[in-house]
Amino acid sequence: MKTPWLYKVRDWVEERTGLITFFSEFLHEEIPGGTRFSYTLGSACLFLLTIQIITGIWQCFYYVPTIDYAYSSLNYLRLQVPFGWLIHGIHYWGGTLFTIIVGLHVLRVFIWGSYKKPREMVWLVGIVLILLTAGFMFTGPVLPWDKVGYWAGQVGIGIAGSVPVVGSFMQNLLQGANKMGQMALLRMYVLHVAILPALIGGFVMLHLIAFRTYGESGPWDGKKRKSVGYFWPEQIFKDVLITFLIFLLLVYLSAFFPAPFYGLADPMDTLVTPKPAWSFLFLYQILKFFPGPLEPLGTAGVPLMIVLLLASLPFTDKSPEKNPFKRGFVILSGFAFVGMILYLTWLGYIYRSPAELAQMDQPNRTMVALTNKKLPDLNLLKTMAAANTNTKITGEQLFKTLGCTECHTTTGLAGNKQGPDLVMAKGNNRTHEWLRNQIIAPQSHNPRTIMPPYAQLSDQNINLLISYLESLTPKEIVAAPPPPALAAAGAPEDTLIKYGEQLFNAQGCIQCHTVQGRPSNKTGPDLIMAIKKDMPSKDWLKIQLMTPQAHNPLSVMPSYANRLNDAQMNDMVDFLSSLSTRTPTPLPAGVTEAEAGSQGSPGPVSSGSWVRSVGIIGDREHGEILFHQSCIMCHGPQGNPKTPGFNAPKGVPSLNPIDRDVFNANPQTFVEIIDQRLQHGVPNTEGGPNMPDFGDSHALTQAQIADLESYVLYLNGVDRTMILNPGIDPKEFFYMLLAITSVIVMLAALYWFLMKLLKI
Amino acid sequence: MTNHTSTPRSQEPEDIQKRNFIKGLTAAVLGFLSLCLTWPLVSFLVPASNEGTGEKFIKVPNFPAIATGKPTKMTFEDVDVQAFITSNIVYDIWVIKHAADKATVYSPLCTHLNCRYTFVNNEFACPCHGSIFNEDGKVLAGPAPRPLDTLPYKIEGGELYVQWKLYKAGIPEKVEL
Repeated sequence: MKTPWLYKVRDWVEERTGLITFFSEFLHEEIPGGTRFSYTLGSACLFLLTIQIITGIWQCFYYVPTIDYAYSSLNYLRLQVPFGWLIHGIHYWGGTLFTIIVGLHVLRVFIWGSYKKPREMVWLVGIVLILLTAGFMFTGPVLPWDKVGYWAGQVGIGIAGSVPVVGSFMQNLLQGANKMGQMALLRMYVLHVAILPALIGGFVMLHLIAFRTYGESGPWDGKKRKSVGYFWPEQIFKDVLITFLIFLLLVYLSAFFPAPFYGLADPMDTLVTPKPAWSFLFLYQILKFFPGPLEPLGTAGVPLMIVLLLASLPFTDKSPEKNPFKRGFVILSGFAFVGMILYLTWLGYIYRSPAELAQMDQPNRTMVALTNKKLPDLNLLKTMAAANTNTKITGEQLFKTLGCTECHTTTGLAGNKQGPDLVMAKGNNRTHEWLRNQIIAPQSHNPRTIMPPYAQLSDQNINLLISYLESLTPKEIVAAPPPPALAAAGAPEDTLIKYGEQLFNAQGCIQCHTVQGRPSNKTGPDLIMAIKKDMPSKDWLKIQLMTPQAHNPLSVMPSYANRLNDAQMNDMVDFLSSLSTRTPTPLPAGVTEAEAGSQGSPGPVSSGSWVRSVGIIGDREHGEILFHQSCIMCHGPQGNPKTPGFNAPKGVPSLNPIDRDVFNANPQTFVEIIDQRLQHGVPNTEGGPNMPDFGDSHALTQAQIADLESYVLYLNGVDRTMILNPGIDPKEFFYMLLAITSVIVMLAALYWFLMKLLKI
Repeated sequence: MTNHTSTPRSQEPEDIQKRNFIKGLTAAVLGFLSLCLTWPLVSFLVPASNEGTGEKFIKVPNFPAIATGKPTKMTFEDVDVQAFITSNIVYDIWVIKHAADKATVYSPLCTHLNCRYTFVNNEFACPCHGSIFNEDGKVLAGPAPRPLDTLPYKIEGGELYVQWKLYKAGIPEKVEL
C-alpha cells in the first residue's frame, strides 16, 4: 500500500455513497459475443453530446442572443478569441456529426434487432432522443442570426405554423411575437441552451439505465453469444479509440472547413433561398408533394407518421428472430425508408427557388458574378448590332442587356434602386434630345450623377433605347381607390388624412422627401419643415403635385396628375397640409441635433444600439452580387475602372488595387477605413460623380455594406474572415495533434511488440 | 441486472498483462484527449492582453471658455470598445485652469475608496468618509491616505487633452491600475 490514505478516502466515500460499487458494477459488465467496434456508436453519441455541452457552455461566455449582436458576438468569438475557431468549429461540426452518428446508431440497432423484447423501452426512449436531437438541430442554426440561420428559423417556424388546429398556437409559442425577430431568437436560445439540454440529459440517463438492465443484446447468432467480452477495459478501449478518432475528425473539420460566414440576417434580402437546416431537408422536400389544402398532411402528418412508425416497430415486429437475413421484409422496408430520406435530403439540398434561378439567368448580374466577365457585355452588343436589325433586338432587350435594370425600374412605382423609376420620370416630359444626352453624357445634365455614360452605343441602339423609354406607359396606380363609402363625404377627416398618408407611402414620395421635421440628405425638402415654413394653401399643394415645374421650372419632381385620381389627390393634399401641425419625430437616442445635420449633412439615424457594418463579418459572395448592382457603374468590373472597354467616370478611384494609403493587411482596420466612405460618401474633386452615402441614405443596409466590404477586401487579397487571434494556427494545431497521436501509437505498438515477442 | 460479473475472468498472466496494457493505453488516449480539450478551453477564457488602449489623450471640450483659478468640473467623451460592443463613455474630471496653457487636472475619485468628491467652500470634500482636500490636492482631514490624483494632460492650440487613468485606492502611493 503505497498511499494508504487514498484508499482510506476511497473507503470513506464508498461507505457513505456506494459510488465505488456503483461504478465497478457499471464497468464490469459482460458483453455477449465479445466486444465490437460496431457497439461504439452509442458511446460515440454520448461523447459527442458531452463535447457539445462543453463547447456550448463555453460559447455562452461570448455569445449574446440579441438580433443586433448575435452575429457579431459569434464572429468575435470565432476570429478574436483564442481557440474560438476550435470551440465553435467543434460545436458546429459536432452537431452535424452527432446527427449522423445517431442515425447510424439507430440503423445498427435496427439491423441487429436490438429493439426487440425486452429492450422496447430503450428503443422508445431512443425515439424521444431523436426528437430532442431534431430540436437542437432546429434551434441551433438560428442562433448566429445570419442569412441562412434566419431563413432556416423562418421556414421551420412557418412549418410549425401550418400544422392544423394547433399551428398558430405553436407558431406564436416559438416566435413570441407577430414576426420573426428578437423574441424568436431568444426562444430558440432558451430552448437550445436550457430546456433541450435538461431534457436530453434526463432521457439519456433513462436510455442508459434501460439499456444496462438487459445489457448488450449481442450477436444474433446464439452460438456466438456464448463467448463473453468485457466492458472494462476491452469495450471501453474501443469506445475511447473511436471517440478519439471522432475528436481528431472534429479538429480537422474545424481547421480545414470552418463554418461559413453568411453575413448578417437581412429580411429584405431576396437572393437567399429560404431553407431549413440540412437535417430537415427531407421534410422540406416532402412538403412540396403536398400542395395547397393538403399541406397539413406534409407538415404534421408525415412527421407524425414517421414517429409512430418508429415507435410501433418493437410492437409490430414481434418475432424474437434477430438475424437480419431472416427478417427480409422488415430490413428491406427499413433500408427503403433510409434511402428515401437520404434521397429527399439530396433533392432538398440541390433545390433552388425560381427567384434564385432567375437571378442566375440574368446575364448582367450573376453570370458576370459567377464567370467574372465584364459588364455590360459590349462585345455581345456590338455583334448583335452588327448582325443588324434582322435580329430585331428591341429597345427593351437592349435596356436589359446593358444593365439599365440594375439602377432603374420601369414599374411606375418608386423602387429601391439607385436611379429613378423611368415610368415615374416620364412625368418630366423629357425631349428626345434630352434623353439622348442623358444616355451619352449623363454628367451634362447633372455633373454629380453616378450614371455611367453610354457614349459607345451606336446611334441605332440609342434610338432603340429612346423609343423604348418613350413607349413606357404608367401602369395602374397601385394604391386601391378609397372605399366608396369613405370617399363619399361624411368620412371623418382623420380617416382621409390617414388614407392620404398611405398613398404618400405607396407612391414612393419618401424616396425624395422625409417627414421628420429635420433636414435630411434626400433630394427633396423635409415636408414637415417645408410646410410649417411656407404654410402653402391646399390649391398650391395640388398644383405642386400636378405640375411641379409650375412653381419651379427646374424641379425634378415628377407630375402626379396621371397617377392619382381626384379623390386621391384631395386625400394627399389633406395629408400634406396636416403636416403643418405635426411635431418632429424625436431624434434617436444618443444623436444630438448638431449631429443630425443642420448643414444638410446626414443624420446617423441608426446609431445607438444597432450594430454598425464594421462589426459585421460580411459575406463576400453576396457582396459581389451587390457590387454589380451598386458599384460597378463607376468603379468598373471587379473594382478596376481601367478595365479595357470600360468607360470610367472622372475622378473615380480604383478599388482593385486600392490606394495604398487605404489598404491595410489587417481586415478590421481595412474595413474601418473603407467603411467611412461607404457610410458617408466622398465628394468627387474632379467633377465626376460623388461616392454616394450608402449608409447614411439607407440605400444599403448595414448588413449589405458589410458584404460589400468583404468583397472589396477580397479584391485586394485580404480575407475578412481571417482569424486574428487563433491561439494556435488551426492547421498547425491539427498537425500537432496528429504528430503526438502518431507518437502514442508508435510507443504503444513498440510496447506491444516487446511484450509479445520478448515476454517481458 | 442480469449479466454482471457472473463469469470469472481469466487470471492467466498473459491475459492480465494484456488487460493492463489496454487499460494503460485507454488511460493514455483519454488523458491526451482531455489535455487537447483543456488547453483550448482554458485559453478561450483568458482574453488577449489589452491592445494598447492606454496612452491616449482625449480632448476636453470648452477648456478655453472656463474661468481661471477656480476648480471646474468638466466632462469628456471617449469611445470604449469591448469585444464586439462599441459604446461611448463620459468621464468627469476636476480642472483648475491657471493660465491658457497651464492647468491642474484631478481624477474625480477620492484616494481613500474611490468615492466621487465635490467642491464646497473652497475645499474638495468627499461625502463618503469625510476626507477634505485643498485646491492643491493636499489632504486636510479624513482618512484619505494621499493627495488627490492628478491626471496627465497636455494643452495644444489652447485646447486641453487629458489621459484617463485609474489609481489604486486606499494606499499612500499613487499606483496606476
